[in-house]
Amino acid sequence: MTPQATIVSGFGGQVTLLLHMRALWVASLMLALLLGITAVALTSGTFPLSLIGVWEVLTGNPPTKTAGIVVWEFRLPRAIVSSFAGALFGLSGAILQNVTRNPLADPSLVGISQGASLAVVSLVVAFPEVSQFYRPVTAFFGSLAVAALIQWIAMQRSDGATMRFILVGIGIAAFISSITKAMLTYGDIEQAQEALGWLAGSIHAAGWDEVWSLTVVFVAMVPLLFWAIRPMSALRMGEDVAVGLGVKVRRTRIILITLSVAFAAFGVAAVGPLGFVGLIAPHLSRRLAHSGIGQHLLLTSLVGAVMVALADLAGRVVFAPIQIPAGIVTAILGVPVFLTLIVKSQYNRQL
Amino acid sequence: MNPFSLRSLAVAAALAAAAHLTPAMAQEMRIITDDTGTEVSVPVRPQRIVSLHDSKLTIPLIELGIIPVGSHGRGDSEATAFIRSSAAVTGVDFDNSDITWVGGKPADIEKIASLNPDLILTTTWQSADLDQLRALAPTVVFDYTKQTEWEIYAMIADIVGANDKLAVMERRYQSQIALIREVIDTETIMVSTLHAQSKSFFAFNPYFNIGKVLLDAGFQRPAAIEAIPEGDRIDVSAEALQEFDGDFIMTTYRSSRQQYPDAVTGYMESLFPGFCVQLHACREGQMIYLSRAEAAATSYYALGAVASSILTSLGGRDFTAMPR
Repeated sequence: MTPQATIVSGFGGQVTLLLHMRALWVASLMLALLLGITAVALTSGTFPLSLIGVWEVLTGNPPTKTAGIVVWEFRLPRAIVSSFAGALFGLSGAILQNVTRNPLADPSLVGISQGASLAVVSLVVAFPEVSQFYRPVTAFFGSLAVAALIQWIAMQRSDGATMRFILVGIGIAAFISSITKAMLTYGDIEQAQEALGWLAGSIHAAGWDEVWSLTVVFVAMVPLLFWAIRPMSALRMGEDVAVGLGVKVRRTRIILITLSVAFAAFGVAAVGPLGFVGLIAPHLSRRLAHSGIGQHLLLTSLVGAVMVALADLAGRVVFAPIQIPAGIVTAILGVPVFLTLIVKSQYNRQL
Repeated sequence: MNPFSLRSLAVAAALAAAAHLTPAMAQEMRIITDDTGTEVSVPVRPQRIVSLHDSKLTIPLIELGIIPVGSHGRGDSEATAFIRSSAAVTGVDFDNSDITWVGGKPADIEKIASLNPDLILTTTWQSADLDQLRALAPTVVFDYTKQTEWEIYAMIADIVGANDKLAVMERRYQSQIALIREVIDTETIMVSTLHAQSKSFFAFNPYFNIGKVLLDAGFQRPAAIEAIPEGDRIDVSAEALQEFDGDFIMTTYRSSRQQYPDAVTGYMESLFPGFCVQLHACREGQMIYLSRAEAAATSYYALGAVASSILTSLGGRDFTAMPR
């Protein structure tokens, strides 16, 4: 009989990991799926290019100059960015669901999507002459500003109690959304359309700049994730238990929420506010394999990456030359899957 | 360091690495400055143009005698795609030409690549990534906030070497305007342009071809329309409807969506029951309906059709002037 979990030690016994075998298998499967989707993405599109042609491009002998541009400048960076962005949104949602102990938490709960949306819509509608190159930076700081505001209000007089944090988040996010809608309604129709296109979440313009910047984000933030595993594990068992285990709950909660905001803000800055990934990816990974926090984060990042990579591929290829924004596809594909899982789990519970 | 310079370097390197294969490079080139301030090296006689705005760029190209290899268009499939207003204005559309549909907004960058263009014409309205377009072919960007559509038309004619043809069409249009001025005492007549859709009344300053003909012919316009910033569109509150009244009101219907004059009247009635009683022009039967295909397309044929409609509708007829 295969063991359900195994313990791995390293660094002279200073580091010990409890690895759930099923989670490892599922993670391997997700990684293989992600690589498969990337391979399909490289060989699919309206530019006619055979598998051999793609191979020739990748090995430095492009059949035509245009084939080289299509693979190196369009398809490959897009596939990588969509994977990175999905992982970022998934991780953001997983951390947030853990720290708030709210299964419905996602980046929109702490105003990340709304802050980015308001900032970019304001830029597009009020300052149409400003280059679109400033949108990622605007989105990033818009996210951080609104998330910081929600945190600050939630921390007043209550040490940031979870329920207060959630309620403040919902209220501020709704307020920010209403301002965004007003700007879209009263702004110039073409500018509003342009802003709506960005709000739908799109990866069509992704290039190597986004690949490098997201790579830097991952390299810089993964060590923080390793640090976060222990306090997140404690928080999962409740605030009282976490205190008993020596976790400084208030400080830890602020750091974890900031980490979640940062993940989502970088994702939004790169590809726009992709909905549902932060909500669904942690749930999907939990249903695919129960595990500790560390493996859950790994699995969630892979599930998020698969979701967005698949959504972007479908949006690019299925109705070509019409390009469907990845945000719409993630909602169309993700929500039914999510609802099915919920209904199925309720049904099993009733049984 | 500019965060986007890496992409620019990569694109420049890709272009430099295989410049000998670019169709444009084999041709005689010249430098023009587009509306982004970029100096673009374009072929003197482009052969494979891709246009990324159907009614604003593709129609002028067709009218100037250039059939682009690809065009932006409306619709949701190959079977339903169309070049907005083109069938009515030029007679050319995707279904009866070799123009390939490259999608909507954003256009499909790979579809454009597959056409091997030697020149791409686009506008700031199009959301296809400019760096990606420029990696494929010289790309000229037009900005409607910096030039009128007719200035852009003239620039397109210059780029494709069709200035002579443009001059002929311009001469024809000026003679049509002169005829309107001879037949109608335009400076004593106030003509408003007011439109409706399901959610609101709206007005432009000016409304594309109708606005141009009215201005060029010297008609009066309501102060409310002149108060709209030039080139802008506003939603009009039902309460302010009478400010947009005139001796005549010209309105438009969207024939491309099988919406005809009765649809416009229906919108107006649903937005303001009894609107006709409130508007002098409507009350007196002096409301004129034009198809948006001719009213809005950037086309000298369409401009002529609008001029002809105005001459026919207003010339030599009795009408009741709106009390001033």
